[in-house]
Amino acid sequence: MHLVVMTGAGISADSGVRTFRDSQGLWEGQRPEDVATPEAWARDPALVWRFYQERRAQLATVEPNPAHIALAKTAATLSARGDRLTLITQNVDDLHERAGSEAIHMHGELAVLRCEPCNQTVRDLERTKADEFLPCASCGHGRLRPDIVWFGEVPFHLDEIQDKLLDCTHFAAIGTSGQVWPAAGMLQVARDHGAVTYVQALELPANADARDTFVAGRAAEVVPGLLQRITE
Amino acid sequence: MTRMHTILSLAIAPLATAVPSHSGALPGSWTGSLWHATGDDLAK
Repeated sequence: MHLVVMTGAGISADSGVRTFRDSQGLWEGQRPEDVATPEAWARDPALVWRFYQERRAQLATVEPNPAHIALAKTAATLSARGDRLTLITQNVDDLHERAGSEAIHMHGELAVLRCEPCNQTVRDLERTKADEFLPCASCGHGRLRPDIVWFGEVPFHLDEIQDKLLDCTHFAAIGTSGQVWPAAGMLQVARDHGAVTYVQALELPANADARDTFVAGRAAEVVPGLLQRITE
Repeated sequence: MTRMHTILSLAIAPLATAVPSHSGALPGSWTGSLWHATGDDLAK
């Protein structure tokens, strides 16, 4: 068995991480997807920086939930019996790592900052003041950006993800709305290549299909059981 | 050969942008919703 799991905002929401599509849907009167763009960074870097510094600071206030922990335990269980679990996440928090998993962060990580001129990256969750830009220690550029994939940019690790999808025997989409591309297309790719497919969300996602096994409910409540069912 | 990667988008139909190809053939069926691989897609 090679189980590929793709996680989205739903699993982090159960830890209290605010998502792009919370009930109000706005951040300081703006749609978050309008803040998370290269154009916004160029137009108003202070606004974008404040948005991400708030999210970076918030990481210290949240903890992995039973779904994160079940994924880490399942990976260990599969590995012990000669099978594999590949974890791909759209989430930019570090809750999978804190639960003991290794995850492919296709949309980047809040914990990492990047210098656009020299491409140097640094892992830093200590400096989270919202009103202070951080300079690059390598080239001296005065304004690191979050190492986050913004709307209009190409997600990270797509080649590696392609290889995993072509190889997997089972695929589970957890806590995703099926509306953010290209992640939303991965379910179909895995399905078309013969994988047994599972979908967990509060409501049926836009990319689900009659061939998928759909499990409705909160990730923290239903994912442990779903993983047990997939792997037994 | 030009290989297409979709970019991060909230659109129902994925937007696409060209990036340099890797050597080696892509699987023949690999033209689904994740990566678009044809020149026709570029021209649209």
